[in-house]
Amino acid sequence: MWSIRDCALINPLGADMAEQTAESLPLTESPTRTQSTFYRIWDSDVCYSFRSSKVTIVAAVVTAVIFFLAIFAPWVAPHRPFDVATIDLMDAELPPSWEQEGDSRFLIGTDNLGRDLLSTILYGTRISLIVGFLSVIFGLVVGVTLGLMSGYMGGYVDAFIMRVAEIQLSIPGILVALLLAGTLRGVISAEAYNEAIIYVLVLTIGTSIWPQFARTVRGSTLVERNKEYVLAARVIGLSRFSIMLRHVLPNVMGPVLVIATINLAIAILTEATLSFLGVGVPPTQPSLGTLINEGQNYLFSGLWWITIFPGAVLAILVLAVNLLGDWLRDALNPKLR
Amino acid sequence: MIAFLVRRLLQAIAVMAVVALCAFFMFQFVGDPVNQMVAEDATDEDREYLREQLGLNDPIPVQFGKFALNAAQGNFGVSYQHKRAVSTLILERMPATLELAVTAAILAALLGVPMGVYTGLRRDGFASKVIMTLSLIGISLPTFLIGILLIYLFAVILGWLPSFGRGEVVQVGAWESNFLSASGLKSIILPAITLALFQMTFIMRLIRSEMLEVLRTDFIKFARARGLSNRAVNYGHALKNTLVPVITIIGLQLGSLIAFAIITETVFQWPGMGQLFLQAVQVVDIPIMSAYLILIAFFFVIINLIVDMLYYVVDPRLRVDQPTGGGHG
Repeated sequence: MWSIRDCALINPLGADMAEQTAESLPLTESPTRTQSTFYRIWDSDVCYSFRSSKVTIVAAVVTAVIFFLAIFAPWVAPHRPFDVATIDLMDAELPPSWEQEGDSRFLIGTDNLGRDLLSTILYGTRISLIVGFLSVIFGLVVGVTLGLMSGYMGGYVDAFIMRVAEIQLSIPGILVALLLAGTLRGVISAEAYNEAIIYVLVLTIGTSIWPQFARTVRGSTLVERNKEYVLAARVIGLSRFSIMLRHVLPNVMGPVLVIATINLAIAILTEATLSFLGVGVPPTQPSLGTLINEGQNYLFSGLWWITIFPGAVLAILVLAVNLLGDWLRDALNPKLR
Repeated sequence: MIAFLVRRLLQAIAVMAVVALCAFFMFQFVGDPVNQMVAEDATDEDREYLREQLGLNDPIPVQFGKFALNAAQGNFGVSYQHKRAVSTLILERMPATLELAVTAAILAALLGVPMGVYTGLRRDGFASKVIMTLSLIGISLPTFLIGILLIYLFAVILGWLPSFGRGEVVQVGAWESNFLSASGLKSIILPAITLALFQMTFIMRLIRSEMLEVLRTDFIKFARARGLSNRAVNYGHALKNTLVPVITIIGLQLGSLIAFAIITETVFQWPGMGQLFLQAVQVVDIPIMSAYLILIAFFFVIINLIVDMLYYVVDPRLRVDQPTGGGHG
């Protein structure tokens, strides 16, 4: 975990951390104090391991490109796939433009409703990413809070939270998400469900991943709790709450970052799976999973592009995020030094 | 040993109680079962009668007691959608899922373990690098996409294998089996590969990292220094010592095979429990959902217990009484 202190890019957290950084860096290491922050980041361990791994650089670039295209989908996309006025059913099921019957207006063809596939995929990736990020943030906030409480308070709080986490961890996340989604479907009407689908998905997917955060944070909190700086904070009379939040929390965030990255890939996959199974995003505002599900029906008639392209984007996105997560885990792991 | 077993057993019962409580609350909060069961024009008296009949006017703890008792006897009520007993529905579907899951598990272990050992022993070899790269792709491809790709390749383009269903099944007593007819065997290939692929990569990567770890230890160096053959060192000492975590994880993965079967069964329209469950989720058929939840939890608890006991057999160090009772590796 030392390495993250060297890289302000990755952990711009709390003042506590900044002080430690200053202390832990011997002055001799940076002879010219005027060196720019940029150079210090560039020269740090984490960034060095990033620069020296070609696979990671490619993964980072791919991720960045997909994120960029998805975020700016409304400006980048050549068509507006959800504007009924611009869709012509005559254009339906056109193959990619390089095939014989292809149309140069639609680079990678159109789907069964005549929507430009490229634009639909861009918007779909956007929804997948939104759900993925929000789910991870939700799971992270819940998990880190409970893990911190569990580790710092101990006793019954700890026992209760950890038992719940253990029980849930023994059931696969996708099953938890499916059960929650099914139950919510029963509680609210179908219309309300489809309208609030993004929040429903964030809630279900976030709930299915919180235990990992909780367990990791609890583990590192147990270590941090007995360190001298916590003792010092207690001696000067800080409240439990502020010690947990301002002092312990910044020091347990390293592993959390790794888990968050890996879980972003898992969350994107879970969303796609739920949508594929028909309990996720509805076809009117499709995500990547919904697109694959719809295209699956046309595979038998040889309309491969409706499924294969969204599938490829999903696979590449998840692969790139996974690679970043792998690299981050190794880069932040002091054991591998 | 006895104390250890009793402790694990009590924990297992506690887990089942909590899961049963979750399933019970699903009933409590989701919709009104009476509305699901009576005709549109039923009078209030009819409803009240049914309410009393179903015991819905009892206090909540009493209702939960009845629910748990029924569940323990395998009675999960009547499906809203199919109007048949949930237990029969599940029993009908269970052989299909179990055959699929077991085939996939065997496939995953038979391919995953040797590949893991190979990549662990020759970590810098060309074949190892190819296998590792492929495994990363295997982990990143979602199960349903693998299924679709396999269907497209082997069913649509090549036309070698069927793309959906179980084919001809042969009745053996109450069990419908896929393994006794040619079309049944052909039908199980694609779904089993789909289901196995993720587990296989998982097992392989696990064994590889465990092997790498064990091969670095002193006792392996010592074994080599004693002049033991490579085979004895690699398999007799190294592989044997990787088995504890591997057994745990493979055991726990068996449970997730059943969960992932939901996806595989949907892609291949395989008439198993997963498909039943997914249809139940889509139409909010609470009895099936809660029965499935309890059943899966039960599978997991049993598997966990078996894994704990295997631990005990494989690793002599655990036989020394431990205050906390190991298990979660």
